[in-house]
Amino acid sequence: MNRQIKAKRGFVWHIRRHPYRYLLLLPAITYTFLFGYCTYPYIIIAFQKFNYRSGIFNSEFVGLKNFEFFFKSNAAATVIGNTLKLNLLFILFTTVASVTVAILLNEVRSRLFMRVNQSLMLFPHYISWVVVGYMLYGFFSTEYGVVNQILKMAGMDSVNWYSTASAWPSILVIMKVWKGTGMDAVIYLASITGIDATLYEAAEIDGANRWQQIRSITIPLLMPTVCILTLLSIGKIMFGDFGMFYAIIGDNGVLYPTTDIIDTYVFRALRQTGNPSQAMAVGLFQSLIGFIMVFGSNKLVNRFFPDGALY
Amino acid sequence: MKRKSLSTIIIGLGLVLSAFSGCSGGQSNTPEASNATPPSASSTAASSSQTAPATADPVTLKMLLPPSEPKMLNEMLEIVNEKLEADKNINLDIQFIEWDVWQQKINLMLTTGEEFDIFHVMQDRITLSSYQSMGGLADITDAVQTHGQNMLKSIDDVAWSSATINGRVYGVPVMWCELASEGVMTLRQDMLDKYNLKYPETNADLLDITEQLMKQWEGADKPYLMFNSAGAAIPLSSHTTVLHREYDSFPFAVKDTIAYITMDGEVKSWIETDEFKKDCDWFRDAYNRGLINPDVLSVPKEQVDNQRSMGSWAVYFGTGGSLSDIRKNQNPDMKDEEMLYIKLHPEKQSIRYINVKNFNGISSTSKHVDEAVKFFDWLYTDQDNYNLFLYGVEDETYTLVDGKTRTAIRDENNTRLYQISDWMMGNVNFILPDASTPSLQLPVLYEIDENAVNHISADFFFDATPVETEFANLNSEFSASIAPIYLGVQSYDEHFPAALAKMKAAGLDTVLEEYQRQLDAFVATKG
Repeated sequence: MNRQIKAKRGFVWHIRRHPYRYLLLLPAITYTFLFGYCTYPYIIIAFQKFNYRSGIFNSEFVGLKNFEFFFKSNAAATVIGNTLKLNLLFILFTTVASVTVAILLNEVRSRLFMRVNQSLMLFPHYISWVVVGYMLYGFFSTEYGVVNQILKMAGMDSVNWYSTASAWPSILVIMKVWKGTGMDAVIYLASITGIDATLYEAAEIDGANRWQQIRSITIPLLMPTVCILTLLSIGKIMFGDFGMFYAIIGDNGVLYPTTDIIDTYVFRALRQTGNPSQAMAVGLFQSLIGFIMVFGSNKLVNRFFPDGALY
Repeated sequence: MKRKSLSTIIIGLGLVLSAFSGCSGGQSNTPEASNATPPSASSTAASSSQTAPATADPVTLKMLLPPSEPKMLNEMLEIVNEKLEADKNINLDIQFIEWDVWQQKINLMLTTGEEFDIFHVMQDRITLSSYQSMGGLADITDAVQTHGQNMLKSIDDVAWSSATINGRVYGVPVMWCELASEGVMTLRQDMLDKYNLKYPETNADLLDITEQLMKQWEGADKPYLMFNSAGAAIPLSSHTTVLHREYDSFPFAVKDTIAYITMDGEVKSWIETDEFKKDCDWFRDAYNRGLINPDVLSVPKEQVDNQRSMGSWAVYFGTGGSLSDIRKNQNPDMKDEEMLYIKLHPEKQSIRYINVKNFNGISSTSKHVDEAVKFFDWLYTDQDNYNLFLYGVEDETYTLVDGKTRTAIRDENNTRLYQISDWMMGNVNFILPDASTPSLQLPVLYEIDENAVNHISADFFFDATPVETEFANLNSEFSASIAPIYLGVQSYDEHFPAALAKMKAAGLDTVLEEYQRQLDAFVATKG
């Protein structure tokens, strides 16, 4: 009987019952509808020789030709490798740093200290990559850079950082962690504060110290959130942060062997022709791989750690 | 359950239909599209005259320009529209789009068939031929003949030739300066005198005087050789054409990063020429002697601008540098005539490698092609119209100086109250240069050089569509492999063989073959 009543309470009933909750959802739904679903039809231009005048219905169908420019290029393997490698490093180090910071902040008892620290760590999130690019130039420029000045003071030779490709993956990872840790830590902290306090009380009564409580309560209960956020990041693993890479690396070809990613390669290749079909073809490839990665990873998580799965 | 499925299907269909509603291209809403044949201005003229007869309400043209809106745009536009409406029954609605989203926004508007009329086309970004081949531009051939008599007088035939693709005109050329000025460099006589440097006569002299200056320099910022390093090592963008005048093979043109074109129209691979190697060796020498910034591939534009405005330089490729900045920041006593504009080997000809850099295109989504052409004709009718649209109202937004130059009036934050840039809409017959322009620069940029010769490819633009796969990869490979060698960061001898192999693998020969084919066809058409 109860189940029957619940079944009759449909979608409209829920909206009537909780109108303000759904109102809060409206901006997100509108955004997703406009910029998500409404753009789907344009995927077709990846298979067309798109012509503005003919539109998506009448442009010539060319099959997979638009994918050729990327997959036939010498750089395809390098840029796909760089994109995957750098994104994996970003996900790994940002997640470890954020979880660590969140746990440490949770242990802080002084509210003032915690707030000051959180604000300071959030601050980099709001600095644009362009500004970060200038900051890095201030650190690493050959002539006046802080790092070379320190090396010189220590009696060492200065380094031409902007000609040393091997140094930049590490620099990029550090900057990504510096910029992203604060915001991610807030999410993890929110998750930690949601953990039932009685679990800690029970552990204390049983004589567990803080480290044991973290190891046996905080980390295990935080893992579903870690898994979900990591899975979401894996979905975007083929998409590089173009703003970051272009602001920091720009058109410096010497650094490309380690820093050229799909997005920067496509930008460079198409900036003179502006061909939307070729850009869409690469975008579609990135999305497809992202989907496969999320699907595969989620299946694995579902099998070994169901609480952390997305669906 | 069935009802649920049905509603899901209906919602899904709704989503798809609503999404498709905005993406039918130009088929339904452009005058050209109703015809299966290629667009012609005669058809657009007929339809637009139906939609906007002279006696009807004024037609409002939507114009897209980069980058940001002048402070008094609305006030000035009101005055412009009053005159434009009285003269041509047209109003303007100008929308400014920031640089970082310029290309994407234009692309998106064209893709979704959004109606707008005029947009600016910069050849160093997406070329006129690219927009044309993707159907983004209206054919204005007949409209120009019918409504553009003043335009035709103000813009040279060679410039119109640059806007002509397959015998049809697709843009209004912006002929705002004398492009035979390519190959000019700016030289500071005050620096030569102060540091006892010789007047340069050869490419090697440029390195020697910069080295001497560097050794004697007392200022904070080093006086590196100034050139547009953001020009991605392309001679026409970096103005390294300065060096080419010394070579025996001069004159030749380097275009689209890969094509070396002789005066006879023979296309060779630029990166495989001796001239390319000589440029590379010159830059490598400069790099090794510390005369160009060691971070030349990454140095922020602002730092280069700062070096220029602080006056920490003696040689500048191109017509750059501000006399007022140098007086303010470094040498208050610098005389106007101490800013020199010279070409090495002046006995050699001046060459116009290109006739036009920028165009204004009429969008293929425009319903007012005739009116858009009429606007440009109005703009280039007389000095009054030109001044009003580009500079605003005299003594409100600018003041005339000697009747030939002008000074923009600025607000308390030193921002110009109003100006539409000359490089976007200007014309050399009407331009009023800024009064602070060094007097020796005025004839170089704003007077037609009667002795200059047009390169055979001056009004030719390569259409990359037939080889778009190879061309896209070459563009990318050029930045990755060739630019570091060209700018001296990597040694030619050590890195060039591998770089050439990559360029060949990316399709260099295929593109050059197509380049030669198109140029031959172009030359044949011109007779």
